Amino acid sequence: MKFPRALMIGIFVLLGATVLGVAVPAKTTFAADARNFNAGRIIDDSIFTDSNTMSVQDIQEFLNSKVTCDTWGQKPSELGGGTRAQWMGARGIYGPYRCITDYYENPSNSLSNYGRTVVPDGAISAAQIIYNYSRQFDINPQVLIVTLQKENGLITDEWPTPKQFSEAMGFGCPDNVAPGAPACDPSFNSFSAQIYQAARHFRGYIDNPSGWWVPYNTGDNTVYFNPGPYDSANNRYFGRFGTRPDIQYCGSTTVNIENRSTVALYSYTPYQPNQSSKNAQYGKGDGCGAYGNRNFYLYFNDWFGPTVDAQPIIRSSTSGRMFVRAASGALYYISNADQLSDIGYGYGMMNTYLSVNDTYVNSHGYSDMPALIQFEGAPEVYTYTSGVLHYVNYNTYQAYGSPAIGVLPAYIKRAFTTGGDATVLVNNSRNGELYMVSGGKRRYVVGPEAYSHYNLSAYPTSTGGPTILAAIPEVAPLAKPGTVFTSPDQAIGAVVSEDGAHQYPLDKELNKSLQINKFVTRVDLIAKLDPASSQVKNLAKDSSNNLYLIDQQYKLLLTPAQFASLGYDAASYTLAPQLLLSRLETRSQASDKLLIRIGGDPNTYLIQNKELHLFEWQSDAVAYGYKANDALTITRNTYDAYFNYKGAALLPNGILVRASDSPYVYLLTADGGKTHITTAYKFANLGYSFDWVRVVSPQSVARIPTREDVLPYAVDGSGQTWILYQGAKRLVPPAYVSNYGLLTTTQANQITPWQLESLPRTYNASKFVRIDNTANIYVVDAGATHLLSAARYLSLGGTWSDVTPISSDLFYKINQGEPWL
Amino acid sequence: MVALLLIGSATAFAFRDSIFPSKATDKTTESSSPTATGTNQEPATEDQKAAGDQAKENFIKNNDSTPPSSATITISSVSTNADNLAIRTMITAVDDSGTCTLTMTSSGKETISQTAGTQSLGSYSVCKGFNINKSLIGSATWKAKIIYKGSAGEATTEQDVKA
Repeated sequence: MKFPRALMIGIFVLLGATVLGVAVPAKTTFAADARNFNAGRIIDDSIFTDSNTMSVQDIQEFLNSKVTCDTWGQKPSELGGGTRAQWMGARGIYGPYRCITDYYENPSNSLSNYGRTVVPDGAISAAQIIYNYSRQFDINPQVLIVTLQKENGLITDEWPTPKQFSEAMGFGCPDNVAPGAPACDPSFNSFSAQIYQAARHFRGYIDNPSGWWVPYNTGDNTVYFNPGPYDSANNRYFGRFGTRPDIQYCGSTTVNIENRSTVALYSYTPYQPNQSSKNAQYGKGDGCGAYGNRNFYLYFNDWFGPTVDAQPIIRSSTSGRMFVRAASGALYYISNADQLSDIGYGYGMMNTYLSVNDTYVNSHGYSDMPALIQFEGAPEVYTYTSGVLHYVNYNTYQAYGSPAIGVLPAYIKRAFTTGGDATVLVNNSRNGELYMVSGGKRRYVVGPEAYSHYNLSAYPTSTGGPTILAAIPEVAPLAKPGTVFTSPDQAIGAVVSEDGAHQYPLDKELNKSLQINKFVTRVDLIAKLDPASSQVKNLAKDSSNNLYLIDQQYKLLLTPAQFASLGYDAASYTLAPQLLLSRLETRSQASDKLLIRIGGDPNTYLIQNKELHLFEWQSDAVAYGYKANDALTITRNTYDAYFNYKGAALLPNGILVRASDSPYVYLLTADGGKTHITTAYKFANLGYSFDWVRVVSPQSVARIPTREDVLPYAVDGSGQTWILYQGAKRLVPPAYVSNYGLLTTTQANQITPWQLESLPRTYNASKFVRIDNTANIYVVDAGATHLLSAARYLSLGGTWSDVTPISSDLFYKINQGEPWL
Repeated sequence: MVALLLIGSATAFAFRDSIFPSKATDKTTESSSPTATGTNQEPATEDQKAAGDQAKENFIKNNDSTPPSSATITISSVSTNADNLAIRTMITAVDDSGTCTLTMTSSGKETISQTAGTQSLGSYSVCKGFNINKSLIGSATWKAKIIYKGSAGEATTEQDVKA
């Protein structure tokens, strides 16, 4: 994954601030930052002594780029006195005035073309002189150029004086001379002598040969800030105080000098910049400032690049962007965290960087980080990851698609360690992903199954970083046929085809409900496989048109009856690849309709025409002829996708139910209806107990159709008729049944046999009845009731105990006949 | 606008397998800034020129009018190697014929003295010494005093040293 550039800049700024422990400085007008001057390590030996950095032509071109000579002094003098020519003339110096770009001198006799229009015999250019002594003493010509500039500004001077050439390197010009002695030693009084002596002494300071008493050494040294500043206003040295020497006026620090090249610089210019000098960048600091070594550092960085070669990483304090130096002097832009990781940031020497600003960056130019790198002067090409180099041979290079190769300075190689050779089987160092590379493309190797299936153990594996992998386009993954892919959110899924190059896409719902071994990966990776079919769904069929419901790790083979009961037509079933079906356990269910449970829900349901019907109790299922244990568990995802819970609960007939939100009690009838038991009187007469009332969902009650009221009588399985009254049952003798008329009809909603069985039995019914304990006595006859006066009943020999009390609702359901008075 | 560089190999390849073809330089650039040597060939900035002008001005002033400061001798470094304690000096004057005298004292120890000539290093001089055998000084702290006498006058420096 690549980070947005803006984010990376932020990260880099943060990193920089963290690593260095300093605030990121505001934009300055300078490229190199003098505040980064490291007194103990001004320049590294490998840079200071690299005499191969420039040819004569390179030097000449560089000098030409820095100055346009005012050969005749026509411009106004910066030192006053009219024009430059007038200022020169007042000192006996006449044109043509020569600059470093067109100065020629004969090293043998010091004759030059300064003030002459012709070049003396044997004279060579300043560039050539610099080059010659650079090579003779193995000192980087850039060191000599920078020294020329920091000593008296000769590189940028449009109208130098002859003395600027004859004392060009400041050699032989001490800060203190004996009274009457010349300011500079005349024995070094030529440009070539100055360059020669400077290069020679630099070499001597580095080599420290016997007989040289070099004042500094690696390790702790006392380095002063200033020889003793001169107070030009009062024509005296500030340092002339008491008995203390001038040099102690500005003080010193102990500097731990890390290398001989820094020893050489201090031995040549034995002062370090104080903080005011460093804060001033190229400008002047306070009276104790010294600028020689500071300016050396600034000019070198700005003109030739970093002085410290263990800092291959360059960071712009302006923008926070980070770069790696190319051998060409240009920069490679580290555009994301992966690249930063690959070059080994945080590993060893990479854990530092040179701070510059965007002026420096823009003047050097930059390009993207290359996929492969090479080091200047060496033919080997490498991939790089986590600061480790991996050699790339020609075949591998071709397999990688011949990506871009960047050339880095040789010294940067020291910042890396070397690992095994790069190969075509590449393990991503960041996340362990394995890729097979061929023909400039890479294929993600999907797990050990693919590794084994394609016999990849025959190839050596190497480590590759995100940078090289990003340079090789990724194509379809290398997966074993039958591998099931899924995106992390399971919205996308696919089965790898038989040829390994295509996919059978999985419907989202199927993918979510499948609980088989799946390979979680990126959506874009799945998309690299072309589809071989339309989407496979939970409702599937095989090539023989067997129909299945697929869920979790099984495929439920549907019987024709089950197919019909489900309610989906044949077209709803999609063809599933055998690669998938063969991985699924085959299940079946013996029932005519599917009995299911939903994951996480203990209830059992029957599916009928896409609707679920709840069995509230397992015994309910039994009552309907199903075994709850046969129920198949399906995922909630599949349930949500294919079924609705709209069906009424399947409750057994004869039970009493009440909706959870209502006090009304219903008796469920044998025909699938319900009848409201409207009063407690009726409830009691039927012999019911409130303990028998099952509380069910309001929806279940609402979905049951309503039937007529139940009357308090029942016909048992033997055909005997019973009158129910106050929770007891009275047998109606067969001889009297016809008397009651109504009782010859079996109620569809009568109480259940087991309830009837459980009621206590009392006296048999007679053909004389009364409503509850009222005084009126009726005789039932031929399906009607006839009022009979008590006097007459008793006179006919009747007794009260032979009068059967019945409930009013039953009484009034019997036809009313004429009184038998 | 920053130049975009397409940088490839600048040199011919000679892979270990010896079958890698040579690659021609494919560098292209929209900028004249960096050269093959990596130098910055943009004109000098105003700051760079100003610093150069300042150096020139100082150079001319020093040549024309600034009187010399007094000669000073300092101990620039004290280091040890396997055998010796090395004391190095810097004299802020050019003198090839001066004399340096080192005297080292430490409580209860015998005084150590060495004398050396001076050596010009172009812009200043050094004492041609001093290496003191470590067996003579042990682990004690010593007071090292060096006196320079020569054509630039006389100067003294003093510093505690330890092997």
